[in-house]
Amino acid sequence: MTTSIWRYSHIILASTAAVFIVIASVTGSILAFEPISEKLNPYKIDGIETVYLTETIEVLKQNYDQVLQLKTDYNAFVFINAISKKGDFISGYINPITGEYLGPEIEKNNFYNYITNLHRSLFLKGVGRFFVGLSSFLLFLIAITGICLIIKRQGSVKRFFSKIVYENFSQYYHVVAGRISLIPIIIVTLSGVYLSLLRFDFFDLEKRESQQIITENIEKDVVIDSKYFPIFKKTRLVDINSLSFPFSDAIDDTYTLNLKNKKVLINQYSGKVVGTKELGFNSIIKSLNVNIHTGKGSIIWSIILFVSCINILFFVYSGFAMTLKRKKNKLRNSFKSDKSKYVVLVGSENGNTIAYANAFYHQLKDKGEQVYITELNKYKFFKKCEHLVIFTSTYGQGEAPSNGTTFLELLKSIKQNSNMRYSVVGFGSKAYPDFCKFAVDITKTLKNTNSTPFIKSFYIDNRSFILFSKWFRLWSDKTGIDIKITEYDVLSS
Amino acid sequence: MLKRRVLIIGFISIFVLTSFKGLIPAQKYKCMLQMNSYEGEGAYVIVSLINPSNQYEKTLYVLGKDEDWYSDIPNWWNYYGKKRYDLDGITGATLSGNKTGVNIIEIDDSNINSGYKIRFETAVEDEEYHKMDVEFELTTTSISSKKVGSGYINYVRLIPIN
Repeated sequence: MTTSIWRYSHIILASTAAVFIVIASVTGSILAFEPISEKLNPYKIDGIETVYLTETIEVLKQNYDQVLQLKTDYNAFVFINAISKKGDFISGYINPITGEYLGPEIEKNNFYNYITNLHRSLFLKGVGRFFVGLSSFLLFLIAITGICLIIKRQGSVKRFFSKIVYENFSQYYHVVAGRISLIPIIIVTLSGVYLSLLRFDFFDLEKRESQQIITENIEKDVVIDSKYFPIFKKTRLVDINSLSFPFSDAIDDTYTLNLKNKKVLINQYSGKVVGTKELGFNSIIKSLNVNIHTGKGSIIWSIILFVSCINILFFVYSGFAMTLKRKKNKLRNSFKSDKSKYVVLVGSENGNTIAYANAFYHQLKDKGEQVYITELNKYKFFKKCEHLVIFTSTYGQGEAPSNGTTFLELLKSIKQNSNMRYSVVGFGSKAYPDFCKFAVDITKTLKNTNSTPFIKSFYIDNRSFILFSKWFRLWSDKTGIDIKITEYDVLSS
Repeated sequence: MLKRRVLIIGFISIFVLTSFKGLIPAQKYKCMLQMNSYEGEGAYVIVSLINPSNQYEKTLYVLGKDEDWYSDIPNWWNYYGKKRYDLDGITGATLSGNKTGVNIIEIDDSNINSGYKIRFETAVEDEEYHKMDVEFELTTTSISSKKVGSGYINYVRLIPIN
């Protein structure tokens, strides 16, 4: 069966990357729970949005001997590295209002570590990262070709979200789930590719952003208590990434304040800003990507990521089920084309129409008739043909299915024996505006040939078996060949 | 009988030695690492105490928690890899280019001014390995000066905590 370029690429890409994709989505769905469980830790303090740096710094100075660093993470948990009054090193979460120690650093669970390793490098270090990055990119391409397939199937971009015709379980839910999770999948694959490229120094983050910090003159004489530093008074705790305290008493040891978009150096005695460095676009994009890919800091996004992973697994399953089904519906012949009195032509995109054609073909064969079955694009001169029976679906906006794209041209150019009569059965759905349009086009084109119609063309909505049996009874009565097709014959062929 | 006495003496000496070890005065230091502006992943940094016969004596700090990569720091791995004792409490995250990190390390006072050295080894995943990015002898004066690195490290500073 000839296949469209989009479907071909969709399937080839999927088969190439399937193993990696399955591993990545199974592990990914597990990893989605990490940010959730992390966020459920009781370290978030009510009212942290209105806490300013000054407040926390003062409280820390009272409670600890020395503070090295203060961090606010994406969960709005406040973390310090400090030395306690007793002289012990402390590294953990605190209450930024009372200074109270809440608990130790959330150690990455060994299980998650293991899964993360598998997820991003398959335990193969650099090489593995390359393959995972590559399959992430393939999955991105699969999603894009998938969008193209949906647009083609639905007939237009505008109809992207309109009703989908139910053909079978795999097909229906492949498309339904596809439409819902394509956007998250594109986002997650692109961020995955980005992170892999980052690993291989693709973006030269440091080189581009290594412009020096602009330092201003340091005033040596002014000494102000840090609680009056204007920058500490006006900066909210939730707006910082980290604040490093001066390393020593030396005047050129400053406070280093890392904000979301810049780094600021603050004289430890005067509180004056003595240097700033704007973070480049790349650094901001980097942290954004990390958060998007991991779901850090957002339970809702983590859940979306989880659902997308599960969907990807379903796509792999249903996609292969569909492909196998298409493969199964092959056309097999027992008689030569130039010896057959009956010729059955099939136009089918997903193999559903083939099931009907095959059932019809087998009935004729069982009755001892010489019958030949082939796809529309293989239309040629049939030497002994008296009955041409055409079964065809319509694809997209009234177009031919992929194995019937050249049929109308062939029909015009090939002249059959004048005793040949034709019957057309169109399959389609009234949910689409161009209901059975291709079958109608075939009928119109046939009218302009030397062949004559045998019975009128039938257009079957939603594979209605009642309508189909009406058609074959009519055909059977007129030919005198007793044909009995049951729904089971169609389903099992 | 003799066997038992040997055992008891053994236990006592172990007890005395271990409890005595706890009494050896140790000093905590703030250790600041400023990295050079290199690209790529964060650097693994191993801080070790080197004895006068140039052998590894003790691991003081490890930046980088992914043990899979420890074998890519060959010199130290030859020493650490055999025993794999606990690194709990002395590990931190890797440092990437241009970043500054401050950690706490502990050095026994007896190791100062007695020929011991402190060594900083650095490695980046799939990139270069610097077996002596920074190394200097521990003396009262050297310990609080700024040491410039030859690899990924821009400089190292140590300062005793009160």
